[in-house]
Amino acid sequence: MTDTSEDNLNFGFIAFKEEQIDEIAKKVGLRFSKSGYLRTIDNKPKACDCCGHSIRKKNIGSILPGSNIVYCDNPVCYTEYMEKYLKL
Amino acid sequence: MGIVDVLKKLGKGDLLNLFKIEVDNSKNYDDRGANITINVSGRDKIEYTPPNTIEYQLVEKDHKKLYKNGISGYVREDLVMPQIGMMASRASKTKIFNKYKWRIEEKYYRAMITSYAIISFEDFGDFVTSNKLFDNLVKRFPSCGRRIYNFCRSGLMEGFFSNKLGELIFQGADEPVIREKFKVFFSEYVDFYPHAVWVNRIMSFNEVLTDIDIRLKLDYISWLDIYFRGNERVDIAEKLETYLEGHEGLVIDTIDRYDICKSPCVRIGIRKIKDKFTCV
Repeated sequence: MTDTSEDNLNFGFIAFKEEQIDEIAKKVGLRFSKSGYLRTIDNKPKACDCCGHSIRKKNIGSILPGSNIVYCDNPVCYTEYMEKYLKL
Repeated sequence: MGIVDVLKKLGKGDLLNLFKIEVDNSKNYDDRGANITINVSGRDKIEYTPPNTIEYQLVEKDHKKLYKNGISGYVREDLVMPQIGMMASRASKTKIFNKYKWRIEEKYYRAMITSYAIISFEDFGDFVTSNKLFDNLVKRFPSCGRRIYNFCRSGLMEGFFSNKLGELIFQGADEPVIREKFKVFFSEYVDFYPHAVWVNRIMSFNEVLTDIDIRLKLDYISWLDIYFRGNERVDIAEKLETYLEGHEGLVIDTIDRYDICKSPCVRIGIRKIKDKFTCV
């Protein structure tokens, strides 16, 4: 393994599985309703911050720590998330 | 304690499978983490620096500090590698990102990231996603999105701008001076790039000629590339080719024909052979 610092990227991601999503949502002040949709702590619907589509466990993509910024798994939204928050 | 043990101890053992981490046991990893080589979709290898153990502890204790500590986010596991692979599987792109970070304005850098994502999808042949991304890019960066995409797609980030940056670095200036100078240089070229015309959907043949004329009337411009993409624009390219063949002040240097996704593209390179002339 050679040291290629110039090529190195720290993406700083923490990957989660579907079964971990409840716990992570709770950490950022969100929760999933009984009908499966993401909601804020005051029970308002939480949509994707890019496309505005409602978010369920199956289409959640990314959550920014320390905020309730959530993106769905659409590549367009995901790219916006990377562009805005990824530490490239 | 090796990094594998650290990850397992913290219950993050799944990360090892997720990232298909190849651990070099001969290296003594400490608690600060270390660079790890990972395979990206069976293609090129990239280096990945895993979050260190302190950050892992922060996951449990105070997630609000995560972002400040370089954690970009919680990401669904099946999205991590495809997207990272899309963005960074080529070492050249990684170098490009590192080269321009902090040296161009943030909005340009962000537009650049999306532009390379669009290019990746185009190269994969996913026209639908690349189109959606492009619409999003223009919507988010109305003033510079198209231009930055054109720079990236035309290879100017790897060529023209990279060379200019190289010149500044070679002159031995300090990094803050390089950043300041290059930011100004780059911004000026985003506003007006004199060495190329990118023909868009709404440009007529006469407008293309006017754009060429504006550029070639500049004293310091002796050559110009004109890019056409899509069937309708290729028709304009053919018209321009015929028009320029009989022109006394200009000569066609190169004509490249290629495809991006399913769109036919043409690049016409022209050179000025008379100082004073008019194209229109």
